[in-house]
Amino acid sequence: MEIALDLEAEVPLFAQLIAQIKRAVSSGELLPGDPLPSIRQLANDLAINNKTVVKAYRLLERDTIIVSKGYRGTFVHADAKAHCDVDVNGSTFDKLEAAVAELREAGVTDSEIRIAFGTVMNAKNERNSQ
Amino acid sequence: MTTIHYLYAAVFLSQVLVVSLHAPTIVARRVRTLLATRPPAEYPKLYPVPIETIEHTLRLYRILNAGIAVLGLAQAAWFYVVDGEMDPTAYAVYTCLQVAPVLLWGQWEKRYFQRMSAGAHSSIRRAQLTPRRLFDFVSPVQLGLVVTTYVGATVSIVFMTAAPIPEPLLTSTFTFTLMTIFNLFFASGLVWLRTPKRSDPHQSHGDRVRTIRAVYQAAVTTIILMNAYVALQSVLTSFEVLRYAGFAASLLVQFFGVAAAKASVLVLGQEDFEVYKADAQRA
Repeated sequence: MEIALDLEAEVPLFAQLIAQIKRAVSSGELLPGDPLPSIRQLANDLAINNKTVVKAYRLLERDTIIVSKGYRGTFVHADAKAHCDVDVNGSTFDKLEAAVAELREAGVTDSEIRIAFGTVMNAKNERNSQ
Repeated sequence: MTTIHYLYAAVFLSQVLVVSLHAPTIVARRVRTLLATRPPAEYPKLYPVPIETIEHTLRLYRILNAGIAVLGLAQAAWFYVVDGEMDPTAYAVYTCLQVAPVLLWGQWEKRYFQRMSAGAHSSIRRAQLTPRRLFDFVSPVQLGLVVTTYVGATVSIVFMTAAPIPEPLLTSTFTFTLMTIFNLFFASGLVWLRTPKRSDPHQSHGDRVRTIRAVYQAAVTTIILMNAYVALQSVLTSFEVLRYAGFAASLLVQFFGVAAAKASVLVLGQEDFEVYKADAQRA
């Protein structure tokens, strides 16, 4: 199965890669248990940075579309098709939008929301780095 | 001159002709066929440099090889006619000289593809979502032969240290270490070569896989022959007939010379030339 990335598209390369793998799973071109190329192979074949493929694979694994089995390689997850339609970004957007609306209703200003959001995110990053 | 000297002279002359004349002819014929059958007007993406540059480089490559061949003939005349025997150091230096044009040609090909990449303007990049496995490129029999020849060479080295005329321990240890390093180097190369960087930006997936397979086959054959040579050399040393190992060494050099010419990546395994047409999308 062939994938094609457009370097000049507005959509980032990792997002194009994710979208095409998800599309292949949805259409049945990729079946559960099918092996995927290694990060290095895909990056070199596409002549893109390894980190781009790493990011795409990491997000696909988080979304339970693929599963990494160490040295044996990366495979399509058994429940991949069911998870293809789950829109994590959309759900995140909805939750944040609801939270912001609630805070605004309570009288919190936009700058206070931004500062609080930044503080929470930074605090999480610091916890992760420790 | 004895029979052995005549045999040596024949093998050396064969090396001169095969490596410095026959192998460059293979490369030149392939490139000329490419230029004749795939003209730049029809396949512009195949030629990132003017045709004159390619022909000029090819001419230099052939002149350099012809010069080295003449030097080889002169050396053969000097050693076999005047001295009656070839000096091993002179032979080694001459063999290194024969390898030089192969390396220079390889460098030129590398720059050729760099220019091709620089001139590739399409923003579309394509790849197959199919993993490449080790056994897609080599058979289990070939890998078995690598292991067998390595074990055979090791056994031969160990056995010959206990032979009636043993090989010095330092020499056999050095030979074994060098052979093991080469085997490990090629083994890691086999893993690395499965996913090489794309040198030709237009090359189709099928051609890319064919190129990788050809490189694999060359690498595996090299390891097998080298291990076999080490085993043979060890046996010949212990029987005090090491000078016969020179035949095997020369034949090995001739094999590598032809293999390197045939593995010239510029035209290696190319079957899908449609990707080099002006209106073709990037592979």
